[in-house]
Amino acid sequence: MTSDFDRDDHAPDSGGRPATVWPCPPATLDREPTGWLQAAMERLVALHTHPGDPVLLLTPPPLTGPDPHRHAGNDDPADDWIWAVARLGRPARVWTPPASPLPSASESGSGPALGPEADRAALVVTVVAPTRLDWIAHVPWSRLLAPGGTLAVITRSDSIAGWLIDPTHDLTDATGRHGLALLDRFVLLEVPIDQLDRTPAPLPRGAAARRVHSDLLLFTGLRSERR
Amino acid sequence: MSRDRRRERGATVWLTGRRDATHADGPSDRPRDHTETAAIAAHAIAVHSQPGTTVCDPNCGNGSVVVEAVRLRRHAVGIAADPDAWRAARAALNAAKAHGAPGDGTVLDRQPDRWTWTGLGPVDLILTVIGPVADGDGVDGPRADRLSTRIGGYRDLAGPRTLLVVIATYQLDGGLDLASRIVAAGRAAGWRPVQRVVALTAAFHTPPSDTWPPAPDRAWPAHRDVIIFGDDAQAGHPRPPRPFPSRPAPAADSPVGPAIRVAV
Repeated sequence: MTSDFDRDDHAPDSGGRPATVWPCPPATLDREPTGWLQAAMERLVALHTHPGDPVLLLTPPPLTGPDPHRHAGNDDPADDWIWAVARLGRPARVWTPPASPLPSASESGSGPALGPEADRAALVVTVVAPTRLDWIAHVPWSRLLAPGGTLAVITRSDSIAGWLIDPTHDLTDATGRHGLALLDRFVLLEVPIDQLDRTPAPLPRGAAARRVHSDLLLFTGLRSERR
Repeated sequence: MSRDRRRERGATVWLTGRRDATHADGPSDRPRDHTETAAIAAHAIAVHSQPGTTVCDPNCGNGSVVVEAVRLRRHAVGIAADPDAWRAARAALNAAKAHGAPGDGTVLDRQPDRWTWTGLGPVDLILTVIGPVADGDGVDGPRADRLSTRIGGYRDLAGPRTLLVVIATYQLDGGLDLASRIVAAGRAAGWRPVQRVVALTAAFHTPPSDTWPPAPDRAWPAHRDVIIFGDDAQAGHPRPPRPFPSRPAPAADSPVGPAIRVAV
């Protein structure tokens, strides 16, 4: 299967502005379904990097205990990501931060392991589950990104036991401490448009709507942080 | 290959867009598009209330919510403190009634308190539009307080089973999106945030393939956020589940562990 992204040689500063809603590509008779997450990854890479730009894929550290809210499925998509990024001609790396805080640079004595600024990623992508935020405060976000680079966080809000669980505040806090600011927020549709009903129907009291979208938060360095 | 055509009823994405996204010609950062508001309000009323119940917009502007409510056979109460807005909302309501809208409606010039409110009975759904808000003083400053005060004031209209639904403009400033600030303000005001859904303001079609053009600039808004709140006093919802909160940040200059190069 090929997509137009395989022929991508566009400068990232050409073309029009994207909409805040990214529809899910459908499966067709001549094309295997890629899924919304892989499609979003491909689009992210095409929009925010040039061929050859390094892309860092950040995976959550393993849990030490059970997560009662864990959903089976798209919390561990690293294999799909690697394939999606590599076939677009961008070098991909995967890094899993530790579950506990890292020692400071002065304590470690060995300096940063990611090397010089040139090795930092033009695009860092991660998936954050709304019930699993323990690790995001331990990530040195700004050290992962090249100047002017983009951090893309794919996440979602859930309604659990009658409460909205929305990780946006925690994410903006965690990244803001490292000089990153929220640049844009996108809606990623997880089902094709034609599977959504155009006629609204009453929702039973106390029931939550079925979640059919995720959120994509884009962060970038504050102007004062750029060199 | 499976072709699942199961319709997603009661989904978190509402198909309320009428403008064709493929013909959108750039930014749509208009302060308030009444057509968009009307479509989203109609959807919210249909999903979150029943015919014959009472819908109130405590900041009803030109009356879009009130008009959609009476069209959908609800009792509608609009509140507009601004005289020009009050006149506009009254005119819109009268026009809707003249065109056969089956519901009853009224537009008040101030919010009644619990002791003077003898109107159409308990409010079942408070539905209002917020945004864009003026830029200026950050997430935790006076603007956040004003937002919380405004949403907190809606509690005077609420009964034990009242839902509050807020339609929020897509707006990012002060380091956070407006919808997230509304969630925080509502929670601070004693409302229980229940769910966050998306109302499309453009009509999207299923893309034929991965043919999106590259476009790194800020996005143009093709949706609005809709936040649903319940009354925090409801039994069975003592506090939000939060099993894995984030912890304080480490030093910003922490070293990064080794990266595994997996594909070049």
